[in-house]
Amino acid sequence: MRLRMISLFVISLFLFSVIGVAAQEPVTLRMSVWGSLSDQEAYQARLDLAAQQFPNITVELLYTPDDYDQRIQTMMAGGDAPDIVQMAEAIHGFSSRGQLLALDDLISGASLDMEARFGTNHLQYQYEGSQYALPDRGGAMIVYYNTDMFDAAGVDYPTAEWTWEDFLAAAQALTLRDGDAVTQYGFAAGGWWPWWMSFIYQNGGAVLDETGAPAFNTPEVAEALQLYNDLVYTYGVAPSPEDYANLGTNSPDPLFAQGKVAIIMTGFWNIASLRDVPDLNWDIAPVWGNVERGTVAFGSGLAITSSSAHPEEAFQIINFLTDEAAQTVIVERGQDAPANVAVLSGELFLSGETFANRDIYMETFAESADAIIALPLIPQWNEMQSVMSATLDEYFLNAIDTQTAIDQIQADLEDLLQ
Amino acid sequence: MAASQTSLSDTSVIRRARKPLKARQRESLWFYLIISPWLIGLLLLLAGPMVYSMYLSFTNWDLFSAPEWVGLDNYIRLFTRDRTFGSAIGNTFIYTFLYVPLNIIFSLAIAYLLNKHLPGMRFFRTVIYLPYVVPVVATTMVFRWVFAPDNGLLNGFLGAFGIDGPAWLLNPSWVKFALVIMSLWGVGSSVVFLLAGMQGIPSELYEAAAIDGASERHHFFRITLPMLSPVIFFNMIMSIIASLQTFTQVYILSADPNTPNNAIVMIIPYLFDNAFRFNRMGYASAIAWVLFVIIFVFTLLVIRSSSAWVFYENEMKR
Repeated sequence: MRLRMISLFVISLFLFSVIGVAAQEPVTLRMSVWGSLSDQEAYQARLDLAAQQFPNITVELLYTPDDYDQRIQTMMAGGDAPDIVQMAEAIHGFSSRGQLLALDDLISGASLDMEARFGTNHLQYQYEGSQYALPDRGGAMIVYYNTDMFDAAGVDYPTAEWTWEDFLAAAQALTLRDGDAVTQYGFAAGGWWPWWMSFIYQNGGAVLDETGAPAFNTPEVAEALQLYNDLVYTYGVAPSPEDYANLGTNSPDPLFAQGKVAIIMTGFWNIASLRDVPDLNWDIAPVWGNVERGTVAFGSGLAITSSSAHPEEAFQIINFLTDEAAQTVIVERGQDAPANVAVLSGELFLSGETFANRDIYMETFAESADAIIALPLIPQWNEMQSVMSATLDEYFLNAIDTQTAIDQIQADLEDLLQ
Repeated sequence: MAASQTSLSDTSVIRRARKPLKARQRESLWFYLIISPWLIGLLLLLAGPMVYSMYLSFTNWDLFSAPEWVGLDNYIRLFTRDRTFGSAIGNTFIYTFLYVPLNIIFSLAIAYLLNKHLPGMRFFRTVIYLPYVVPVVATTMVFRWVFAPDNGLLNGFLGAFGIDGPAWLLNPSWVKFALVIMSLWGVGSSVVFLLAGMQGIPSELYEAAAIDGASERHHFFRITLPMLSPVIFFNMIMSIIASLQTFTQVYILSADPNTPNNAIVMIIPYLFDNAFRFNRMGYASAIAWVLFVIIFVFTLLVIRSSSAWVFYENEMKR
């Protein structure tokens, strides 16, 4: 009797599992990404790999080159959100409003070791203790320098050990003048937040303190911003906004490619941009430090929307996309630095052969990993950026002094976050 | 023409057979029938959202969770604590007060010149209208070079007269003038209306005036200008509304990290930021209603003033 019961149970269990497999109906997911056309192709190539692994899951790629956050937000508000979304600094504007799925159960269900796969990179996608995205791409901001200019000036190449003192001395030695006119800048940056914010963190300053309260009017921040402005207005080693306007650009990257500046800081993508520039000899290095080292991670993660009808399948896809095979495609295509630590320290990435046509110091990315600052990725990130740049725009034009600027920003941030 | 007349009389025959409608009733029936698509569209697509946005302006709403009623808080914050909104209002007004009169003066002057009968006039008319057809995005990009501090076209031109031009797009005081200059480049749209108006002025008026010995100046100020006043009136209202709603130029220039954003922020770009970047739909709705009142008041003032300066041919001046 009991045996019959058990055998019936076993048979029914077997039947159920067969039905379960047969019931693996085809599922269609939508995944939204931004970037250039070559980014789009790289995502598609990785999804093609995923399609081989999960024949029952079809993923449609939605590609949004501009105004990405606005589009995603509109789709979410309209009840038409994609299942998988690429997310960066604005992520917690969405996670804090319940628009993204907390992935913790799915991660433990898949026995995914976040630490082993991503290092500390995944922490920025946590909000109130929950994980909201798997890191996907993640190159740090690094230094690009023109080796010919360094050789000509007899300056040692930059290293991770550089301090502000070394940096300033090099920038001064690398700046060439013809009378009053600068013919070669030692350094170039500007109003984009990763540049000035990394200087603040290098000096032990912060935008928000550990409790999340604004901490902008501190001596550390003042000193960092003062140096940043002095590079332009006191030492004359970096172009002012006015100089940029005269040079017909608002970004250091083209100036570096044209051989008009010796040192810039930017992301991984510039390797591909510089690859085909003739007669430009350059290399990369980690960003310097002062009190401590500090650079920004330009990454993005893949998140699942809370309205997704197929969260399990969506997680299978993002789990696969951040695993070694699919992450290797990012390297093969020279798209970006992968977030997967194994691929980042793998031979193919370190050889640099898929992106650079020269021997560059690819260890830069691994050496930058422990200098990445914990960005204040609060839900009001966009508004915080807007508040800070409203004042800093004027400050970088040298129209207001440092104390006025930091007091004003502190007051505005307090008003915003109260 | 003939066919439509028969069909019209056919229907009226049928109508008369059923129940005679007075011509007046028939006319109003047709009126409502023909405007119904717009009326329905207005009610569904405009009036509904407007009433809803009025409600939203008294709430905090982040687009996702349910709106939370906060009474007049949004309006109080706008007028007491929000410095950026203050700048936005100030910048928008300065821009409007500069652009609208300059637009009228320039478009009148250009239309007057383009109305002359000279060889190649068609070419010049096209050239004047062309900038208006260029997308604002492209215009803004090109004007970056025009406004370059040392080697830009404009400062190069000023330099020829010994004037040291400012850093147009970087200097917080000058950037608003730069926006006005950029917009005046697209003056062609107003010119087209004025030109059409000028060509519609009966030549007998000028002939009669010429016989009486009126000078060229009299022709312009006593005939052309009064006869054009309805067109100028139309252009004025349209350009006031358009400049109070300026968006694209500001949006593009703000994307440049070197632009002093506080000096060029205007009402609509700030509304857009609040709605779609800061998740403050309720606050953005409040801004929209403030702007609505501003536009309403300005338009009303212009319409009220029009009886003093707008002349319609078929109206008797009292």
